[in-house]
Amino acid sequence: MNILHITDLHLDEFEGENEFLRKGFYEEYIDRLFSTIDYKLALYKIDFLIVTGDFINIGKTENYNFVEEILKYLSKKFSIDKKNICLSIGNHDYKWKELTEVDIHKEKDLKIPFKEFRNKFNSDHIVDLDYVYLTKLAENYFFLSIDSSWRSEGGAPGNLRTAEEDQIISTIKKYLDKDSHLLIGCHFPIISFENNFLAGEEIDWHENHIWIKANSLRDRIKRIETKNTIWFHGDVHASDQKIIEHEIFVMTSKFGGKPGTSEQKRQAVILSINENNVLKATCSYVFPTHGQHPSLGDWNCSDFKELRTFKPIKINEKVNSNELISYNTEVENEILRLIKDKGLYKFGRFHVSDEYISLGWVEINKLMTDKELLNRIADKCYEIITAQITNPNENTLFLGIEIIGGKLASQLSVRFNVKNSIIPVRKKSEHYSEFEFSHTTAFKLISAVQNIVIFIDLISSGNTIKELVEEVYSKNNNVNVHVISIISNDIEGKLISIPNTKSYNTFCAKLKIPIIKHNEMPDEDFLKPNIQYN
Amino acid sequence: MNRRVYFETSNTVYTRAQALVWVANGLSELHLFEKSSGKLLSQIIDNLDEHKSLLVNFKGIVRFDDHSLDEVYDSLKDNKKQLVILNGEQLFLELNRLKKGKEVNINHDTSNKIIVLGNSKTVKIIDFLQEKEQCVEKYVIQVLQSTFTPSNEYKRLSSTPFLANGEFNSKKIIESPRDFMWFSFYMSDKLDEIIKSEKLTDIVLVSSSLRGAIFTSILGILNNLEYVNIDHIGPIHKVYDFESLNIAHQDRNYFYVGDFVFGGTEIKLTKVYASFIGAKLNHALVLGSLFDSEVFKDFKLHELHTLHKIREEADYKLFDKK
Repeated sequence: MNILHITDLHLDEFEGENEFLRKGFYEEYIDRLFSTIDYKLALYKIDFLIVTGDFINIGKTENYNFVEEILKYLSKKFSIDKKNICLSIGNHDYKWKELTEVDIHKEKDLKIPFKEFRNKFNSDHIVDLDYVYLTKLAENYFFLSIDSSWRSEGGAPGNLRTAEEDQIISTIKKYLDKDSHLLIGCHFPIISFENNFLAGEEIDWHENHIWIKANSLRDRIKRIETKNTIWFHGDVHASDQKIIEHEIFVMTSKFGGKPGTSEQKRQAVILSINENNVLKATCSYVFPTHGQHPSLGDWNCSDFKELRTFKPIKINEKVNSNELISYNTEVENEILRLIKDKGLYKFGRFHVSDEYISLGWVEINKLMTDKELLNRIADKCYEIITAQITNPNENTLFLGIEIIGGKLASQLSVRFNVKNSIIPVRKKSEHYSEFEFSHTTAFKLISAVQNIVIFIDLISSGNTIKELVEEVYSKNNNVNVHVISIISNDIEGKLISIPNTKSYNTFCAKLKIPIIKHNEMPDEDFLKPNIQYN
Repeated sequence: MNRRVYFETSNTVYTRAQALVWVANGLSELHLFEKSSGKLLSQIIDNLDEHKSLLVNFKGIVRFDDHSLDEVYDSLKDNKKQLVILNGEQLFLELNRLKKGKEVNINHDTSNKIIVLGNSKTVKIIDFLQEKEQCVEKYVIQVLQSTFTPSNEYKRLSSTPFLANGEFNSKKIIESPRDFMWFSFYMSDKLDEIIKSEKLTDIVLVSSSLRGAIFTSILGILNNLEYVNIDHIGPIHKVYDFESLNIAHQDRNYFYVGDFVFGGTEIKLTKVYASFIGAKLNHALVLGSLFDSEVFKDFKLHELHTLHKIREEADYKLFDKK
């Protein structure tokens, strides 16, 4: 299924001269979008249109007729069935300034123009309440529209009562199951995104634009098992996305309004939901010069990028192939994003072993101070271990290499009630005392266990892990060794072979870390090392 | 029944809701008591002697999953057994809502700040808490004692001027799932107490050793605090990755977390590094210390116990090159 998401049309002066969606230009604007999408993505069709509020500007309800005209043209152009047009209310879509205090009766009256406008498209709702409606779009596809301005004060994100929240949850539970795709239209973002460039421009920006009070609602929806739960947001006039487990959050910049700062791009997003993945492409309206007259720009569409995959866990029998396997694409994307956003990849001369110098360095200690990421990886490790080892208990030992491996091994040992040991490996570089190196009781269990799981932060040349696996086998040749790394060096799409491991799992297989032998590098007089091994 | 998730005294069984969450569901959602944690709790109730009270510390739990207490209420339904909730008064309405018509007594004892479920017999809460405290304290001391391995001769302790007739090894705590979990909670409570009593804000936990890093990260998760792991300053002062210090922490309150302290060198050096990036380091929490905290003037040391109290035979001499 393909979904077109637009938001924040902010129609102010339909007959004016300076609007993207003005009378004399909107068809051309939409035609250009259609051509670009058609040419770039070659989609068979768009199935659903989702628009997440602010159809009109500052409560100008007299503009709904014009917005209706625009949306009808858009749906005709993209051949979208009227019943598949899903609309959610935004804070500009009613005259909230006429509310001097919270008064839901008056608020309902003020929102009637929107409701009438909305029902001209899709009025066949399974559930239709003041603050939410649910529509079945197709087999297993549902659209839930939540009024994030319900019981709002001063146009800020609203406030759902517990009973209302319970009602939303019970509605979802009643009609959806694990095979359902839940598409949620919600004007105010329910989570914070990094790309909030306006946050510094406005006092109390987060309170005014992020629906923090609905955290519990989001948390409860998250717990309902679905095939996909996708939140579509608007309001902040910026574009971003987040993927947290099976939840996807798509925030799209505005579609209409008047030209403002160059930062505020006009955008449309296309999401393609397939059997094994969810893809996203972003179309942006770009201008050839600094001038921003609406007529001057044109749509530019990105390629589809994968947001989520539903690949099953791969279990390798005694890994001999060197196919590079990443366990979980969502975690991989998150790792890559954090490394990029936080600038955690460095180039230089990093001594990593007697044999090799690495030309790239990932600050993985810093990366793993992100508690959310650490916990997600630990949860995924739990799934890997449960899938690969039957009843891990006293027959199993966890070995954690250095700080990060040690954290995972110790935290997971509590869940499985399995002994663990932290293994410092930089012995040759004299980073540790003899006392720290002396392996303790748990390590001595190697000869008595059937399964060993080794947790390691990053596999670069593979020397460290290979040496440890060899040491393990020298003590117990019959043991099954499983390796879980957070990052594995992507050397031309191949996995570094670790002989005889029962399984080799990594969370990130798309990061290249060039390594080179010491004798292939210029002398240190020419290029000083950033990190000394010895 | 897995005894690692609770302590037993003559009149009580004690556990912690977040311990059940950790075992059943991991560390991602420590504020949420979900169904698998409820199942663990119901198993403890099923195995509970009727004359004992089950004390459950609900500190940190904010919410219940819809069916999380179904099995708990089934285990309590004839009201023969007693469950006492500590640190969970705010959950009273939720507990009632989730009862769903089951015949389980739920009483809120506001004077003692507890909620009593099931059997309504009088709760001797002061006695019970004292019993539980003694049991936990005894366990903590026993585990700390077990970390000491005596040696036949006096050996130099790395980065200190001391010779010792044995070594304390916190790895023994980390290696044992039960000990690691309960020490994490025990230290987490200590940390919480210190933060409140010292009125500390803008805290970043910091470790500068391999073992310290393990405790720091789990305390960061349990107490929802930022943390930094310097790799590393002690026991050998050889920082491998200086980039971990390249961080904007101007004016933040660094709080050192480590295992055993002798001369305090690691903490002092960490303080210097912290100062270098504009942060302050005035507090440290450790498992054990050779000296009483008054000895250290550069920072306030909070130790679980002194080493002499842990093991009387642990002996130290000043290193003499001759």
